[in-house]
Amino acid sequence: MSRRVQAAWLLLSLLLCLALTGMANIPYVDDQAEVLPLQLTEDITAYSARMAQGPGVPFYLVTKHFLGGRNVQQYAQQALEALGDGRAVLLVVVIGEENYALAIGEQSRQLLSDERAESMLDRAFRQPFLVERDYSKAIAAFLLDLSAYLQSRTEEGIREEGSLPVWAGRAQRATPQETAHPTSGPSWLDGILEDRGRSEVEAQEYAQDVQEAQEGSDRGLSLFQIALIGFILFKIFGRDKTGRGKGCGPLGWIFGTWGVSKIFRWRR
Amino acid sequence: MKGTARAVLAFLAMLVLLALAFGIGAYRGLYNEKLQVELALSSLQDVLDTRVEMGHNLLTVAARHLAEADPLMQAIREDIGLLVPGGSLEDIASANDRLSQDSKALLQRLEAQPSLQADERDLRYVTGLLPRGFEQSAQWADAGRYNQAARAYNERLTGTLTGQVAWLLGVEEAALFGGEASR
Repeated sequence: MSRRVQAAWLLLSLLLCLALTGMANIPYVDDQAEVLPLQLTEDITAYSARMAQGPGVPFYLVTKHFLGGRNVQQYAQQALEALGDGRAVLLVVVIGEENYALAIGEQSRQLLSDERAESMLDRAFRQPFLVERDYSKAIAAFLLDLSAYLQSRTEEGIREEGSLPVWAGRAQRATPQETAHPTSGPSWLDGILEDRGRSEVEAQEYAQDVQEAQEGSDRGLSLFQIALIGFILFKIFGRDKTGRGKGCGPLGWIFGTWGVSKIFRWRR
Repeated sequence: MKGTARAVLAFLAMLVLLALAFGIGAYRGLYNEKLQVELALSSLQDVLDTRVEMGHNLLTVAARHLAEADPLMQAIREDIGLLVPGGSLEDIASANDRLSQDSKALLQRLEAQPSLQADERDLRYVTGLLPRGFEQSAQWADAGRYNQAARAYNERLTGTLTGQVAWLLGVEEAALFGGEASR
């Protein structure tokens, strides 16, 4: 195998690894509001992976406290587009605004219409989300209903439901787990700003722009440049045709240039 | 005689060229600095979006516990309506300052509401996340830093020979946020 072919293989493998790593890095659950117990997050993640393999519709969830005045449906649609998976179904839950929206990928629209999804949300999600404020129950119940519907449409079953029925209040558990409350953990800004990353980048850009504007373009002359100009001036004007000096040596010209640069503020 | 006239002419031409080069250099340098200050102002306006977001978040919570026509809520609606690019710097600055005061007053008012005291989730927002968010956004959108940069530029424009030449050639002073005097 020639070196070129080997290099091409290596490059292709690297690109494939990067692509797979990128796909694996998108979490099924992005609990920015930090309202879900860790166990439920893991359960939803595992179940969503099975949904992706079975009915072929991966489920994604984003929770936030607020959207800063942004329309939740538009936000959900943009988040879905950012996923880049036409099969995905994405639920955005905005706790502090008591609002939510579901975005359905193009490929999954053949299986799930907006009306059907809305009806499922009304039946399984709305009551526990708005009235009981039991976010775990609301999300688990909706996910189970969604999965059951998709399984019936595709005839692809998911055998293992994990503890989702327990979270949804449809099965008993030995020791009940409490739903987490809104927290102010380390990623608190994620939950209250539409896009914390963008806001932080803008703040950094502002600080940097201000710093650069304050410093100006720094076009002054350095000490070395002033000395060099002084020396060149001495060489040009410091001697007459006979080679005799005109009263000032090189240092005189250099210090003269130094003084002139002070007057005209050319110094750096 | 002819040679001397030529030499004088050449010397004058050299002086004119030197003056032209100096003028062009001064204009370009200061004009670029002005652009940098304008870029900083544009970045500040981007950061002000965070203040608008926080205003919306506060109004969302307040609407659950106060009447829609509440004067403080109305004031915040007006403040965030003015914090948009395109308005005058003075209007934006005063709206930004008012938003700080009005949001603080509204948070205090909300905290005193019995309905909010009975709502664990909203109480956490009003006493925790929202004040912290406002504080963070105010820190990011510190207009004082822009004013310092604009003032430094104005001093270079009016206090140096190159700056004065550039000013004569049409480079303008930078506006200060909040209409502060430059000197």
